[in-house]
Amino acid sequence: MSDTQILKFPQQIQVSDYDASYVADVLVIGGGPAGAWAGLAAARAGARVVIAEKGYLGTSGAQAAAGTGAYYIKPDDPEHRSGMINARQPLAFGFSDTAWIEKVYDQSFINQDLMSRWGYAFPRTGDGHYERWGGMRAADAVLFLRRQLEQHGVTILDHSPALELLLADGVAAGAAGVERKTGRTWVVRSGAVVLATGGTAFRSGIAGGHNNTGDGYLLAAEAGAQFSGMEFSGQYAIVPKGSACSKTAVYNAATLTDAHGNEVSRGKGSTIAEIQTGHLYCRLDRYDEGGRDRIQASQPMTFQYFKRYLPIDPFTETYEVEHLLEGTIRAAGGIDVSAGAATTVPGLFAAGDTTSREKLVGANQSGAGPATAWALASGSWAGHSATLFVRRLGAAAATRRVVAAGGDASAGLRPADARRAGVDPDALIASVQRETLPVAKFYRREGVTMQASLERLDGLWRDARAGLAADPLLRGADRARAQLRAREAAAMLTAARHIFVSALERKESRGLHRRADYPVLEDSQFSHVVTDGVDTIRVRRNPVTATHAAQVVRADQEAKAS
Amino acid sequence: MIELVFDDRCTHCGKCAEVCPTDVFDWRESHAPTIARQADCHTCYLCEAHCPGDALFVGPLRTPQPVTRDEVLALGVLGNFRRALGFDTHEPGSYCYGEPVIEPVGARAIPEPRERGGANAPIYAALAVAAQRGLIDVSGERAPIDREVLLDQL
Repeated sequence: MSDTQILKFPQQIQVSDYDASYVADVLVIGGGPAGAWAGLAAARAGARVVIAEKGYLGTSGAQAAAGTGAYYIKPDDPEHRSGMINARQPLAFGFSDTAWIEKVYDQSFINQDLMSRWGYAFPRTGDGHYERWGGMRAADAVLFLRRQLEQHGVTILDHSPALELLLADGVAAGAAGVERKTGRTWVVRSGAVVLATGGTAFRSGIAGGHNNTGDGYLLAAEAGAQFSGMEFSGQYAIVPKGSACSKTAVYNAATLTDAHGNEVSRGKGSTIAEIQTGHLYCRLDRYDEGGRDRIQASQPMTFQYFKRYLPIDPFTETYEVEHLLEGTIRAAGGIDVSAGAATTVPGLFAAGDTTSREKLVGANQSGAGPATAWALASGSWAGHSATLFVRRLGAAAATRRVVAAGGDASAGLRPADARRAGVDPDALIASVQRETLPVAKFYRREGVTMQASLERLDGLWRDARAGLAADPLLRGADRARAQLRAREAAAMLTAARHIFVSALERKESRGLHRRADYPVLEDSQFSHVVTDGVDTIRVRRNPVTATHAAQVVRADQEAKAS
Repeated sequence: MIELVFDDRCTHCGKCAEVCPTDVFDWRESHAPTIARQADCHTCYLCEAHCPGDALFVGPLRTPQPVTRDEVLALGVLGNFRRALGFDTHEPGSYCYGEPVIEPVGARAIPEPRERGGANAPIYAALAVAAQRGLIDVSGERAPIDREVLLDQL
């Protein structure tokens, strides 16, 4: 939406302009675990569902590449419940909400129970009787959910990125996109839309992260949705030097040393060591023999580095590692959703990593256990809520007049001025990466540096808005891929600008937001940073309503009173 | 990143091009795929996992790793990822890769015994909140689910 135009000429959508057209009750954009569960929940509630996935539903997304554990709480075991609920509360810096955590993990239990009943083989204990839930394996967990979607009659559009949302009087009413392998255009008209497009690591190179360019942020921002906690994004993983593999379980039993051979702790210690001494080294020397076998069997991706590139024994020999950005894929910030996974835009719901997870994990990292539980739970809620929304809309939903959410000046699709060949999406993405990937800049932030970053990004945004578009001479798949790339560049710019606006607003250090100029926690900053907007990004503060915070305050007061 | 396609091992099934989430391959019927967009590869190894001919080699680096066919053959790694996942012998989702025996590491991390198909395992029955509000039927045996409980409306 343009912030400057007085008269708007919204881009009207004609179904006949598209090669393929679909009608659905619920359209889900994104086919990772959250999108799959949204589709399942909606289909099981009786909705006709279309899922549009940029890649292939089953292999796309961070989860399918990395595999994750999913937290859950056993309904009838108070010890287990309180243990899991409280596990990360101290790391949340007051932003987590105990009742919300409980609800998310309860829903995760239900969904994993369903997966087990449907036949997903969770790992088993030695005697074969006890399933160990939580083990959502890479490569087969989302693929398994794909089989369930197929059995539920859900229409899956693979290799079909959504390029823009459709709105009917401000209500989400579908999306339009392309099939990138053929260049065919498609439009889905729906009664509600679920965004499950994941977070973004700004293409740092982490395994499974290439498609995660923050597309949902762009779609949501254009529709008018608000974001929360985007400053909680400075999350880095340790990877072997040059590797893509951000699986970090192995470092639980590792010794990390800086360039001078001094041992450092994992996390802040190792990150500062890499920034200050230039190198970080690792040896997996705390495994016993059984542990070595188990970790190699359960982390098949991690050890390919030593089988295919660096022929050493990582259990006895030292090798170089480095920090690689995971960004909002594993941090907390994202699209603000309320109960039922509703965004602030009617008819638009959101699930998984693309949403803010502050109520679940506060100011800290979300993954993988909480993030996967959240993907399952919020996916179900979004799909269910979307279905209820469609029921309330009734038959009128299909005949509404729809317009493109980005209007007639949508960055990367319909530039405000004429297309300029010099505004190149790859160059834009490289520029965004210069502001977001370097650990020295993005891990520990500084006001003046961030202000300069934001000004550069705002300038790039103006360029993109004015002249970014695919070469009109391109045809077929080449054109579709060029359009996608332009929209991805616009999405990454949008994500980065929301992050820097939020990070400048939060004048303290809290969780994943660390500032050199405001190095400590400030009571005055104990509120959410909320943003919205496309051309102009507006920022404001919302009070924390978390029950955990309230309990802490009450406990303090009671302690003082007695 | 994807580095090599071994044409002599390729079965021309096209599965790699179908499942590659980043659209790296170009493929035509009865042909081996070509690596058309290597820079888009995000090193997930899932093309290897799905390749019935073990005809693909993904390097572990996130930048190109020039490597020859002979070097890869000497490493002896073709298909090792697929076998590690169990994709060579099982349908996805019907097996566990890795160590099948999970040792309990503490009461909190391991669920209580759960009887498969037993009469006394009404999982939902114990969802006290939902039960108290009359949203689920807590009586009787564990029946097949036709409608799951959704906690978002609570």
